[in-house]
Amino acid sequence: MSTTEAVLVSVRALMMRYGSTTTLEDVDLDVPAGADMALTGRSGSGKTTLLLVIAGLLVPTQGTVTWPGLDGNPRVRRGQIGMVFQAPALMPELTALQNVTLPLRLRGVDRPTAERDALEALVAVAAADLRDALPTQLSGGQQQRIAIARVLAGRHRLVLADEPTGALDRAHAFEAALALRDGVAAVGGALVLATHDPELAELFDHRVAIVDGSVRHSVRTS
Amino acid sequence: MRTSRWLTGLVRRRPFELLVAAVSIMLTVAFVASLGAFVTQSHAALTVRAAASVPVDWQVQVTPQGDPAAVERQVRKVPGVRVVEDIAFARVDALQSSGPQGSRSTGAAYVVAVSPAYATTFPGEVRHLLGSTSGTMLFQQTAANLAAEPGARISVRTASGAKSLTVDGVVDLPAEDSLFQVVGLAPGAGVSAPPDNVVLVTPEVFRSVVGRTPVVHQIHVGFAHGGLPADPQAATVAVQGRANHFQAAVAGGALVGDNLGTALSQALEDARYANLLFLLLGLPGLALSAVVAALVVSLRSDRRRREVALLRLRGATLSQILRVLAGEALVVAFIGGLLGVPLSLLAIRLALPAGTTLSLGWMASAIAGGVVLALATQTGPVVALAFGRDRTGVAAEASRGQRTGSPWALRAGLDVILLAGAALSFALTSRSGYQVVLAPEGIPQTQINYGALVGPALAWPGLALLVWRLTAWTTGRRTGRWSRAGAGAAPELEAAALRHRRRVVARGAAGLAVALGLAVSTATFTATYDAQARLDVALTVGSDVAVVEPPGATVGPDAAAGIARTAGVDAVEPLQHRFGYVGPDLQDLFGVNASSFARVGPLQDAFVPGSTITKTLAALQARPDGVLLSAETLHDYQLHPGDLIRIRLQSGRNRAYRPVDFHVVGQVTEWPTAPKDSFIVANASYIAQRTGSDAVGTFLVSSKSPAATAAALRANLAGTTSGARVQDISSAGSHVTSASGLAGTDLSGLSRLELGFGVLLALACSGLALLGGILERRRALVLLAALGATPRQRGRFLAGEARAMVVAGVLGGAVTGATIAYMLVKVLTGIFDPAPASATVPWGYLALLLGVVAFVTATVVSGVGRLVARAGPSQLRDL
Ligand SMILES: Nc1ncnc2c1ncn2[C@@H]1O[C@H](COP(=O)(O)OP(=O)(O)O)[C@@H](O)[C@H]1O
Ligand SMILES: [Mg+2]
Repeated sequence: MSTTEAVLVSVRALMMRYGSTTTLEDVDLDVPAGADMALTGRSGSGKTTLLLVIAGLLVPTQGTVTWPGLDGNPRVRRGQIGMVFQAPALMPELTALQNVTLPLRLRGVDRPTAERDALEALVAVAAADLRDALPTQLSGGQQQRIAIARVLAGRHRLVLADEPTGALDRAHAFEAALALRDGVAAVGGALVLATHDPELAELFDHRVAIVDGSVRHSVRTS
Repeated sequence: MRTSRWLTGLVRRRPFELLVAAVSIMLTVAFVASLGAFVTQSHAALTVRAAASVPVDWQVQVTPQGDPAAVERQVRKVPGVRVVEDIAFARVDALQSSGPQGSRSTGAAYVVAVSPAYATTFPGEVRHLLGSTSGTMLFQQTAANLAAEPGARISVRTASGAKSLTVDGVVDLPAEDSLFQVVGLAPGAGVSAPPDNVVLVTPEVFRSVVGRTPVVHQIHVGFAHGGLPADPQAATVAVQGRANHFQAAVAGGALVGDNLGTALSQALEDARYANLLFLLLGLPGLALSAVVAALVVSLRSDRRRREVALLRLRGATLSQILRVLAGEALVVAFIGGLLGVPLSLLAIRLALPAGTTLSLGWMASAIAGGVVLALATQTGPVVALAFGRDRTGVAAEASRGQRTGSPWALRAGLDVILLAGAALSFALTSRSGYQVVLAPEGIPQTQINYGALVGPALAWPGLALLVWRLTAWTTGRRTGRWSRAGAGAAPELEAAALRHRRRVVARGAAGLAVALGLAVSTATFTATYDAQARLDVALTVGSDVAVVEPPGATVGPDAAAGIARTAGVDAVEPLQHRFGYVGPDLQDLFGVNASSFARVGPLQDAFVPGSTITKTLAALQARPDGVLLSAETLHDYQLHPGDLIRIRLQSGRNRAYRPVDFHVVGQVTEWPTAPKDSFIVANASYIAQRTGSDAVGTFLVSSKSPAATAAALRANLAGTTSGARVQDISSAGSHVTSASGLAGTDLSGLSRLELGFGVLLALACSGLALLGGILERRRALVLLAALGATPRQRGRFLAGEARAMVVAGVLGGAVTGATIAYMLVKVLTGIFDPAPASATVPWGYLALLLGVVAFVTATVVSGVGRLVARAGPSQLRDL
């Protein structure tokens, strides 16, 4: 990790415990600005837990999380962090375009601007032709592409993706992961993507593996 | 076993959902049970009241071939006999008196032998007015005819000579009609005017007085009414059976004048009205509680459809699935029944008269109803799916999302069809003059025209579906374009979400409209009924207070001055009461001072169809020989205003009927103290002039404190010989027997039940519909939170839906309630006597209802919405 790079999130000596079982122990992690990072580990190893801690949605049992590269105000910071979930979490009542528009509108962006940005994001994930479809009319892969477009349209400083490709077949999973990686990079954001698929992780510059539940194991390739 | 494992799993996994379902079943069970208790109680009250109104239960008349002693022995063997009195009648030629004003003589008279105990044993038959309470007692009217007071001497003339007697007292015979009935005729047949001249004597005197005059022996019987079956039907059958058995046992030796049986069979008619009310007011409530139960189930119907589909996919057989579902329904019904029975007992205690009990039969019916409802609502929506053999369909169902289309009923236009049917049926009923209770000529019993119920029965579902259709239509056209929300709001997206959920919104609005409609219509109906019942009492008494002169009294209008001086009296109006023959019909004739009568009478414009009271009284005053006649008389004699009509009235000293000319002024349907059938209203001064008598029947008194004024008037009258009675409106309600068909049915218990459950059901409907909407959107709410929506923004998404549902539900409820109330008041016109001029709207209750619904809406939306949308990590994991 280069010292010149700004650090968005810094996790130190993190310990997470649910009841008496310790899920994460002694975790140190920095997420540099503009970086792309894969978070790997078996199912149940604590990937989701770590992402929620990074997002500030879970308070660590022990240790600290700081966001040196993000806003100090938690509310503003929440807006700087975008999330993609395993299931394509779309509002079932809204069309693809409306779903992508939604977070922008909630943030106070006016309607024409929001719709223009949303359409751009849909184009980026090659889903412009799906703009008027309802989620129920879309396949799982298509839905996830909409969810990715939604997080891209948000132009977040940091995007956290929790196994966004878990429900997709191999080919679609790689396609979606790449769309997400490149889309986030295009707006200068950082991406942390959790996956249990080591091959998928190969696509990312930074790789962090959670092994043996509590053990932190971080790897970086050139 | 699979089913039990599923059930225990269910109880452990989703106790809240089961409880909510059980609560809806509880409401139904409690409602059915307490309505049942109302029916039982109102029927029992009718029986008790009917039995109590009978002065003598049986008048057993010994036939010429019968032996009085043998008959009496047989009477004492009849089960339930409490008291027995011998009584004998003889019809003599005349009674005579000679006093200071000269000697007077009556026509044929009755001498009646009663024991000294008779008056206390049967207090309804003999009312003591003056002098001694035993010995020789003159009927009040006879005393007036003979100008005889206690101590005077009269003589009884028979074929075998005249016997002289000393008058010991003067009495009234309040039940004279039944006392002098012709025993052995069918009730109501061959009614003859009761005699004017009666003297009661002891059995010893009787024997010496009547000589060889033929004597009729009767044995008067009073039963212990406590032993009667509570239901009027059963009681009637029991009493009539007793009478038949007795007549068979005496083998022609006696005939039974079964006053008790007659009264009970009349109560049976009132019971029919009670049943009609139960159907009209109770069934919609039951249907509504079923709607609530269905709403509860629909809260998780999509989830449940997926569960069943998954069970099918995993290879569960149809019977296994059905067993699981039935088991679940039974668990729900069991808990519902367990909670419902105590709730019904509470409702009975709170709403119904003390002593009302819940019969085992009704309890069982209520629980059975709960089981059926639980089975139907819990399994209904998935049975079709469970039967589905098409695996791809099942798989599709397992992964399918929100349904948005219209239900088949709307696609088929069922709302329009139902409403057209309701309108047609209602039009037919109104064409027949709203004859819901039929009294066909020649048949002594009334029948209910159940066809009249078709209108309301079709209108209910028709209106509910119409609310559904209109709500879905308007919700489906929302764009959010007119929203004035500022930055951070996304009105077009809120509107899009709402459009998409129009089915849910419309369903909730329809349920709420039915719930509110029920409460509104019931409240309006019962308020109208109460108002009419009060008017009925006022009309029966005649005014706030009435001083009723006994028959034959000759008190003139001057006595009004004396009454006016009594404390508390605001105004006094003399009301003449005579009988007059219109053709062969004997009708009541009321003579009034047209210029001032309105001061005291409870008069409404509805009493004079096509005119107003003020105009009609002015017209009467302008025409001294004018009369107001009933619609039947006008119709039967083809009379029109201005026509001459000759009415025969008693006039002159010998009080013979002579024709008097009148001219028709108009029509009248109701008048203070008038009977419900035909009667005549005319100018008192004209009648006095033409008949030579200004005798007043009743002095009507207006007063602001009727009870106190009546007491003061009674004190003034005490110790006088007038025999006048004082009635007042405030204490009359309980014991004045009004002529209305519903007099015997106390509606207040039913209305309290309906209003109470109406609020509960409206609450449940609005709460559950909203809760269902929110739970269905739980995922969307968590997602909104995850996308950075503030609680306020999430609230807007929810509140839009709640607002649409509640606004449509309240509007729909108002329309439904008003329509149904209108139909009820019209269809039940026969129950109202007098018919209401307009419905009475209980604004207070309606405001309370609206407040409650608004409060529940706000609470559910803000409370549950916040709870559900709290985007905790575990919810985020589920996304
Ligand atoms: N709310 C919770 N309560 C108890 N245990 C939890 C909770 N959330 C997660 N866990 C446990 O923590 C561990 C890590 O979970 P998670 O972070 O979801 O792992 P992953 O995302 O890698 O599958 C698992 O064993 C899980 O059972
Ligand atoms: Mg996970």
